[in-house]
Amino acid sequence: MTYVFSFLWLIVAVVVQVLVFNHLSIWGGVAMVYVYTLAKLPVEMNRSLQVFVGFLTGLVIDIFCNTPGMHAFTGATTMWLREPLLRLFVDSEDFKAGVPGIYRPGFSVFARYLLALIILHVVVLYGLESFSLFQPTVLLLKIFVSLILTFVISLSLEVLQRN
Amino acid sequence: MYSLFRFLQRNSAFLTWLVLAAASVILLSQGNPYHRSLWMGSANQVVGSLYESMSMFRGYFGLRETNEELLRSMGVLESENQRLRSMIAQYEDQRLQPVDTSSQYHFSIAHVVGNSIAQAENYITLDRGRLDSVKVNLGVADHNGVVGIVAAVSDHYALVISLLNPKLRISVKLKDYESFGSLVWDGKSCEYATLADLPRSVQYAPGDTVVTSGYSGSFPKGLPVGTVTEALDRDDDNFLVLRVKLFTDFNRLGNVYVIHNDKQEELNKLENQ
Repeated sequence: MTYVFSFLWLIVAVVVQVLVFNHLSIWGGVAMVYVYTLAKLPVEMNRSLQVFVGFLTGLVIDIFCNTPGMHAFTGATTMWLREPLLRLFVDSEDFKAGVPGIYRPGFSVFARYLLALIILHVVVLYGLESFSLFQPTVLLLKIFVSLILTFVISLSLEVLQRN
Repeated sequence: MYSLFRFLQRNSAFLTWLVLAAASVILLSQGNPYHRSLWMGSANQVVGSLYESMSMFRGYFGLRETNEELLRSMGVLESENQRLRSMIAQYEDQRLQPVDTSSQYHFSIAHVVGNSIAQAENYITLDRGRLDSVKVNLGVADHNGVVGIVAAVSDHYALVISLLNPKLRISVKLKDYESFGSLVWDGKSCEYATLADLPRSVQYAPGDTVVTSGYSGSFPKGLPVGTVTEALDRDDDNFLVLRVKLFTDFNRLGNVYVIHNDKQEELNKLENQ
């Protein structure tokens, strides 16, 4: 049942992303709310399936953004490294299964895990994008703005949801 | 055999990633929008119609500004029209024969349903496609200036390479000179582009108007593009590199013209020979 809810949220997030957030950019940086829903997938889910879900999510966004392969690669990579990233902050004994959140495994652990995941996602995505046009200042600004926007919005969503 | 199976099982996440990453890289390497599958872009029926319904909703905002702008440009065009009419009449009076005023270019209206300005390569989706006789390589402009060139069409939608895309180069010139150069986006700001390959002999001044050269056939000669702001220093002795402020406001693209050229096919055939 958790899986069904997770997938539904993911679909909603992707739709909101391509129809709303992609059109609101600050200095070229965009808030990527779908990363939050990817971060909230149940940890006990088969890891291959997680990678596939990340890829598919990215592919749909690619089709809307006319960037074939870019978000798909980033999504697959983010989901592949999600488990090891989470384990940097909480070991598998303390948090075996379920959806990561601010109550379980805890606010600071979740915030650090979320931040690490968003940094990974944003750096890989804009790194790939800069292959077609390399402008160091633009690249750094995009990474910075996207990172802040995504992190703040994701954490606000998380806090609002739990209240 | 058993150890192979164990290996695959233990590394299944990595192997899945490897396969999907390879698939992504294949997609990424098909950089040319002309050769891509239509399903990989926003001009396919599903994405197009989703974007279209969203833009209907967005379209109500900023109607007043759009109207003002259209009226202003209509005023300019009307006075130009008057001037040209009187010139034609004068000419006909002197020569005592009618002047052929028909044009090889025709304009049809389309609406922007999808647009991006924040990416490294930007594209625009239009709500007109093959059934509205929109074809690949047709030019697109709005009432301010040049917007882009059609890269792919489905039955009802068209994908346009925006001027804000380094894959697009258009042939332009300064209004008062015949020597031409190429305009390309430098990725920094959605208001500026770079004019390169212009001979050093060209005398320019900030504020000079940049227009299309008409050599590509996608745009008629003299369509406004932008104004020169400054020269950029490059290590190239033979050519000038100028920064150009674009007339088109890509932040607020709404209604555009698709430019049909009666002689485009003839031109393409000749150039491909």
